[in-house]
Amino acid sequence: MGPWERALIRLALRVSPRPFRTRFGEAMAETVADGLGDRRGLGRLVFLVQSLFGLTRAGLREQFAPTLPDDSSLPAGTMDAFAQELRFALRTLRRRPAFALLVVGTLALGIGSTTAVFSVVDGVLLRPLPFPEPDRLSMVWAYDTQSDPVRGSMSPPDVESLRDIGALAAVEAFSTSTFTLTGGDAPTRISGARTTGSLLSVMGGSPFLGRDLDHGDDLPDGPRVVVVGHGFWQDRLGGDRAVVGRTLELDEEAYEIVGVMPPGFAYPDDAALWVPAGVNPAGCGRGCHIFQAVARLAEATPLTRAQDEIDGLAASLAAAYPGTNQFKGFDLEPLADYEVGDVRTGLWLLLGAVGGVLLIACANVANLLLVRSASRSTEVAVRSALGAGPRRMMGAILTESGLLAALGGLGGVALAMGAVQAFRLVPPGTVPRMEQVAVDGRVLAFALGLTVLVTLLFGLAPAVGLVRRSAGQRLGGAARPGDRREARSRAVLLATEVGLSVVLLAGAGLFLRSLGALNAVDLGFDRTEVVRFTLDLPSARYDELTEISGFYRRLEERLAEVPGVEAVGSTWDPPLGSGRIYGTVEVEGRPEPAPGEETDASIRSMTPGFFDVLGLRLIQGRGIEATDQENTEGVAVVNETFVAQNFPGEDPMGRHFDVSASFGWRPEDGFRIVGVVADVRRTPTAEPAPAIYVPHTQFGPERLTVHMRGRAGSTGLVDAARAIVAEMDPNLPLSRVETMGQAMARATGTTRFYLALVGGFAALAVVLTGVGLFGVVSYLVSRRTREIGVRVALGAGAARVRALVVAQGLVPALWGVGIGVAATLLGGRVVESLLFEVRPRDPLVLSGVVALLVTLTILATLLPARRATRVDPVVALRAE
Amino acid sequence: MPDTSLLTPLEFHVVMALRRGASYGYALMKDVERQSRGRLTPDVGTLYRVLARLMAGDLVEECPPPADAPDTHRGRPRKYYGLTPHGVGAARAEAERLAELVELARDHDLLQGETS
Repeated sequence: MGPWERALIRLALRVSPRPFRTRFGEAMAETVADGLGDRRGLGRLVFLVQSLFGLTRAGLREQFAPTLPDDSSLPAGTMDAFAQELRFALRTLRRRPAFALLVVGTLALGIGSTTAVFSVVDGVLLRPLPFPEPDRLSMVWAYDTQSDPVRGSMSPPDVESLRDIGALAAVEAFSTSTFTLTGGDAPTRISGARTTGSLLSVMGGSPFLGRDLDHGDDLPDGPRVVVVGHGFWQDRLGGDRAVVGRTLELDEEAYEIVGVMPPGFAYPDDAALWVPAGVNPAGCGRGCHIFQAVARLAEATPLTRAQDEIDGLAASLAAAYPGTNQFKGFDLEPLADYEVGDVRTGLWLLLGAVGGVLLIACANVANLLLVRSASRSTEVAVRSALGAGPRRMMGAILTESGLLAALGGLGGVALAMGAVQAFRLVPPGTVPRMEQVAVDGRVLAFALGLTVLVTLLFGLAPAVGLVRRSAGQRLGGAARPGDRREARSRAVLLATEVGLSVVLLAGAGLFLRSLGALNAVDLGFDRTEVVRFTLDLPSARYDELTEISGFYRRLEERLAEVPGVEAVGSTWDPPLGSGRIYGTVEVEGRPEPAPGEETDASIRSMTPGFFDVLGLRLIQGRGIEATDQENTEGVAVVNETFVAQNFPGEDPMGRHFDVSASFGWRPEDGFRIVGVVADVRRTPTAEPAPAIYVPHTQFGPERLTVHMRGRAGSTGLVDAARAIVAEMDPNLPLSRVETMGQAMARATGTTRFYLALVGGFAALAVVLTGVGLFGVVSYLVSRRTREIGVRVALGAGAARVRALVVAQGLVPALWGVGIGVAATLLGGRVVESLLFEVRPRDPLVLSGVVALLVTLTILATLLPARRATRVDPVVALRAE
Repeated sequence: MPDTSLLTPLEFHVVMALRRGASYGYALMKDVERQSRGRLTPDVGTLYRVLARLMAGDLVEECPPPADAPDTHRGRPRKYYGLTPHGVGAARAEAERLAELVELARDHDLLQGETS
């Protein structure tokens, strides 16, 4: 039994209620396999179809009428008649393999691409989050009540206050973190989280072994304990059940393992380790926003009621702590929205786009069948004259459509499986939960439903049309294409195809322009030939700033000596990277700003070579230099936006200011501005924000991203760097190793994902539409040979004939273009949020699309038109 | 529990097929088709619903494979079904009931041939 047959049988078995399936499912599958093993060719196919039908029917009966004894198998004739029709349909298709292949291929493309996109929508959007009662989970954000709510971090004491709210059953705070696993062969970076308590108490579930963290662990200088993930426990701890109580060396410190999480639990962000946050409330009060918070609503509590209670809390905190909470609100956001909200519109849009492709495929196939039904009407007439009733005739035609659709559906599922494999190549982070995407029972059921729908869509109309005509009317001769109803159907189908193609092509064009605009954005730095990696020195061994900055200085010196390296420089918070620290700016000599009017800036700690390695343009003064040391005056270089915000119309050089943030080290007297540098965009879509560049020797931290610019074509820089780092500190892993080109690709990943899919669908649509136009016009030419012959005989020239034929395709195509353009103009707004610096009504895109489709139509009709000009009037007139 | 005095034709055929010894799904399908001279061709779903009903009535049970059967089939042990003592009794009762009916039909000249 092949994998397809097995998959189909499993699918059919799923119809049965679980107890019946558990008891007999395996034996039933075995029985089908036995029967298939006994048969070959068509007999095998018939047996498979019979079995699938029988399993489905038995399943339905067990579901809805388990006590009803139905035993007689089908009335003896039914299956025979079905097998006969199936045989007949197969013979018919085999006689015209090109037609069959065209139809099956078209349907496979339509069903396959729709199924593939559905698998993404299902895995990402429709499947509930993998937690018990996920609807009760919600993120909690802090925001400034004087502006729109944004996703702002929470402070530890505010989270503590949230615990008193009755509407929340549990709330915990966490920050994601990476740990260096040491004590083994090679140091490895493991993602994890620092939490204020038991995340399981919020997310639901119980530990697989031992216990989860609790509030008792979350003390400053509290116990060093860790809970490990189930996968980590299996892969790295050998699945040892006696693991609780053993120690794990993280960042060169010993942690006691107190528990193992249940299988599959990896919240947040694929975490594999959880340690207590252990924040000291004395050092991090209500103004210290460092955590994300996640809450479980109390049972039967609607989000709005919880939000009301939280608003009440925010108001009382504002009164009690005006210094920090006067303008602070808290906002609940359902966890599902937070996880996938950003891609929801995009994915539904993709499903709509691919639905367009499916409709085009169906219109194409319907057109092909309509064309063919004309030549079949004689056969239908003969069969009805011989006594086949309308039901039997419908059955015959639908059997053929069903067979085509089934083959197309099988091909489509194969395509979808291939596509899902290709989705695995999409870089992580582009679309959340992508790992959930699979062609499983649900997706197969969708494909099956789609196949049935498609059969009805393209099969029913020709079937009804054919049967409706009376036998007598048709027996006399072949159909004329002049039948107005048929001609109108064909024109409508063609116009639909062209219209849908316009919409899809316009979508692809808009995404293409967006990507072009994204790549063309001047980020303010030069990203060619730059490769970078991030290091995080363990604070257990590097606790003095001089040690930390000394390490990076020596590292940069050695990297600069590597052959091919042109420049080296490091920073915290690199462009197209992660890591942020913001502080409120206080300019010396100015009164403290009123609450709500403070200005913030992000602080980028750097080594002297950083401006050079990324080519940042110095506008005034100097950059950070090697002479700026821990014991010298605090200095800073600020960017243009910082100057515009804090010193409009003033000369910032030499001015003093301070910021309210640090990694634990900072110059005592604040910073003096020694230079102004051009703005850098963090990502192509981010507006330049105020930034302060400070010497790493004065500010820390332990983690920096080291950039190396090589001469064009130089290779092996990363290997050389790895060797040097290992030599300097064997316990230090390199993380986030990437070229700036890769970082840019990551930053534009979502747009490129949409472009790849919408572009692929648009290409498919164009090909299908072209084939459809060609097929229909060719058919019309062949049916109108006689008329063309008469025209030529009466003196019509080649150009005239050609125009006549081209018009057959062009007129409905132009209708389609008109409708498509109108639809694009009206519906363009839905894609607006996914575009970048391109309006949905972009005239360039729209005119390009119209030109492309008109050219396509003319090309597709020109070949049949040429054939028409060669019609010999004598031959044509003699034909009938 | 099905009314054992009134087995449906398919149930009766399955019971008859099992009377000759324990058997498995596909073999039962073929036996029923042969016994009924092609008049009954149960599909796999129907067959297992019948088996489920017969098992619920304690006429049929899962049983170990016969001594001459291969241990495994496609890597897994095959499921065999056999008649319970109650099933044998029910089959006999049903056969007698049918025989009486046949006798009756013969007495009324609906059937020709010798009585057995």
